[in-house]
Amino acid sequence: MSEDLKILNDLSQNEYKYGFVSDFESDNAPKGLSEDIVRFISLKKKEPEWLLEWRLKAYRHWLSLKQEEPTWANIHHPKIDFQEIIYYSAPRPKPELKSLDELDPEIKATFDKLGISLEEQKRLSGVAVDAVIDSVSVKTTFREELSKLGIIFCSFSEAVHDYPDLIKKYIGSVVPMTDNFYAALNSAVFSDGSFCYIPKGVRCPMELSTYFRINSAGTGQFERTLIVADEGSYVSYLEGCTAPMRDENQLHAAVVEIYAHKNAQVKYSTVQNWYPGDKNGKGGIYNFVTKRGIAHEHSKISWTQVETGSSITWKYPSVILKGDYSIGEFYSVAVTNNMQQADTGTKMIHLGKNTKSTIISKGISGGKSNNSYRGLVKINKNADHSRNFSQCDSLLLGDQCGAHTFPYLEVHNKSAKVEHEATTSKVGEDQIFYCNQRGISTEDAVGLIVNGYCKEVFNQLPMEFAVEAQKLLAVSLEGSVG
Amino acid sequence: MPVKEFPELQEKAISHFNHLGFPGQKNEEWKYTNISPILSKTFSDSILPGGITKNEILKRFPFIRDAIFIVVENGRWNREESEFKDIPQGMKIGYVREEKNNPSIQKHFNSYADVQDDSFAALNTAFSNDSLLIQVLPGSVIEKPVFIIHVASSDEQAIVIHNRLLLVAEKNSSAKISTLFVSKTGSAETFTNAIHEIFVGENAKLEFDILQNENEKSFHICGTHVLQSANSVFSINTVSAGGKIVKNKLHIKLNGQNGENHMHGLYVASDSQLIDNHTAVYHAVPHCNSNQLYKGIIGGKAHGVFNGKIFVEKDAQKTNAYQSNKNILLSNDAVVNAKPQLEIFADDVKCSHGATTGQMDEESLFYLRSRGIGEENAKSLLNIAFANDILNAISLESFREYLSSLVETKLKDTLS
Repeated sequence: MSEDLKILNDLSQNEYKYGFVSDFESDNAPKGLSEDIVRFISLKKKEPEWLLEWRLKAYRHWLSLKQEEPTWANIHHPKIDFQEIIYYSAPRPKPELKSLDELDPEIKATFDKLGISLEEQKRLSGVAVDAVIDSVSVKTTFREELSKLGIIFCSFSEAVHDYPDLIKKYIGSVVPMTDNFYAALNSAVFSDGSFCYIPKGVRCPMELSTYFRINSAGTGQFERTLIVADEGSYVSYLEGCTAPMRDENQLHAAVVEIYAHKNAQVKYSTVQNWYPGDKNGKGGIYNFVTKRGIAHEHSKISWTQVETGSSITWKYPSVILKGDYSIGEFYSVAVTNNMQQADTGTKMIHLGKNTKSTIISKGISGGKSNNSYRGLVKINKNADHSRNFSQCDSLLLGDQCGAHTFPYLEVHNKSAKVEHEATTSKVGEDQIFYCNQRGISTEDAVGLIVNGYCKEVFNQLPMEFAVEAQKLLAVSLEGSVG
Repeated sequence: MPVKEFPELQEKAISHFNHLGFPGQKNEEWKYTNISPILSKTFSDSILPGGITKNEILKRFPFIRDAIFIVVENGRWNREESEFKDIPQGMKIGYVREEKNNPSIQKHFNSYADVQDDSFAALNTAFSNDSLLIQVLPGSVIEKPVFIIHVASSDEQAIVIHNRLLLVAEKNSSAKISTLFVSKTGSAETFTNAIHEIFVGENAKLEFDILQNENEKSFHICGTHVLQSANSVFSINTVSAGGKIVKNKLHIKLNGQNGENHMHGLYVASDSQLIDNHTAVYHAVPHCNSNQLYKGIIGGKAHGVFNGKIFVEKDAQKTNAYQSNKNILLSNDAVVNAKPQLEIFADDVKCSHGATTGQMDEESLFYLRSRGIGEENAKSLLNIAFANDILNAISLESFREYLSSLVETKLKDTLS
């Protein structure tokens, strides 16, 4: 076995670094899904009648799909028993917290282990963190500061109580409950999530971020995020996740909706590092997410994602370019290792005139993993002078893995210009040799080259995240280095 | 019902078909191609040859004058009107059924077409009854071009035609074979369902050209299945211009090291035509090269579809695979759906694909116009240049010129 093959094998055998379970008590619903469970969740969260009705409608639609989850993706897993999942778990209700000291020390310790110290975040980086542990928002910081500008940033359930009109208006407006199997499931049983509203003409002064963690054993997590950027506003939103090590598979079916009004700009960045399962593919998170934004005139929605975790990723952050001159962007790095499977990409639906979209996707597969890019670029008949550029590159580390590209280009307008490029290659021996010559060890060289390969995407991330993402990549690439 | 050539295979194919049924648009291979207009028609298969003469053919296709040509009328070989007296040494032309007891031929027959998975391949196997065989014997280099002219010669009646060809290029051989699909008249609705099975032996070199230019009412589904051995070079050029619904399927498997292939395709669609090209290249062994370029010019309310797949299997290291698809849309009602696909399981490979869809380059147009060339002429020049990238791959000059003028005429009609 050649030297680099050995290194690649070593690094693909890395164990997950963030695996631990914090044991604070959960207030769990019984296993299984029924109308009663939907009512139970709604009741627990003291939701208004209309939202319960909305959930039930989604549940009934989900039932009508006869538990037939979509099978078109290039992923394989045992059939999920939706009656074996606990649909609601919440940390025990505590009185409202005024300061961080009142936070459950267990939860705080969890964050400290992850290196996401709330104090640090609060004091140093100026990032408002809406920490979500097992579906219920525990702590919201910086809210007061934001509220001075009229920005609403709170947990979804709070928003339901405090801003029912906004929620009623925008929920399901981008991802309707009937959109797909998992979106319907989420709409029926979503536990919590984040809500963000940026008023007209306001530029959000800080990066908004949430940290998701899946905690209680056997708990499916059904987050729902809604971001509404009113006319001429700007917001950059970060989402990052790590999860404890588990042996049984956990299902995560989130929904993210972004509504960008005229002239608004939304930037949504994700670093996803959930437990990917062990080297034999045992355990790990099933990450089935529906993310979509709708962009009105002159607005811009940009998705950036770094996907390193989850045993299965099924995720297509999309943009509907509805207004003229709107812009959609998608930057993605997806790393799969061991037995991981990823089927990810984007959809850019051009409806308005002079709309533009850019897709940059970098897939890296190692071990025995399979990494697929699946994307749709659709230019509608009236989308005159639309423009798309897509680039999907795959890097293979080892000879046991697979890289797949499934781009769909549907062009219905003659003045549109659509370009797609894809390449598949490996880390060049000459590149490694060049580094070796200059005293850089092979393992460092691989890390360096892969980081360079992902640069285009990392450059799109906000600073703090870019550092974290690079570290994450380095972690998944180290293993042979002592 | 005539006597069946291969009763056993044909019975089996019927049962495959009964199992498969016709594909709907939920089938990923047929996602963009709706065949219900074909299914809603009743086609008869009772027409016998007798409608076309050698003179007519030579008049329409002057470039075949010095070549060998086989006329296949409505799926039957019309021997009287064909020209195959001077078959060069080293080449055999006949029926597959004549070689029933020849295992070296029979091992190829019905081995490459995907009868079990493709309804139309199953139908062809079940109902084709004059399976042609062209064999290039080991070590033979055939310089003389060979043409197969498929004529749909019904005047009025809607007919279905199952054409079948087995082409075996043995070790160290070389040949150029072109096949044409045309209609005798513009009035009859015909449905051609053709299968080509091609074997390229070790060190063999084969060029295979397909021209599809049937009338505007006809339906055409053609499957070409190729197996390449070590050190072989295979080129295929597919030009589609006629027909109402056309689907070309091309599967090539590189089964021996150092194999090389070149696939070129051109589709020019106007009015309400639908032209669909599906290609798949399987790299099963190391050190092979594949190279693919498909171009489409779509006008009117026409619909162009391209789906190209490259599969690189686990052991196929040092593969070099390239695929490119370029489309020009001439009108706002025209549609292009492209789906270039890569599935790679080996790490030491170089695979890339690109796809573009747009309109003619404004700057090139301006350049020509600023030199006193009228808009229409300039556009036509640019389109021809775009198409010539494909046509230049055809080595036979007279055939290439014929195709070039055919495309030019069609584009002129589309643009005006």
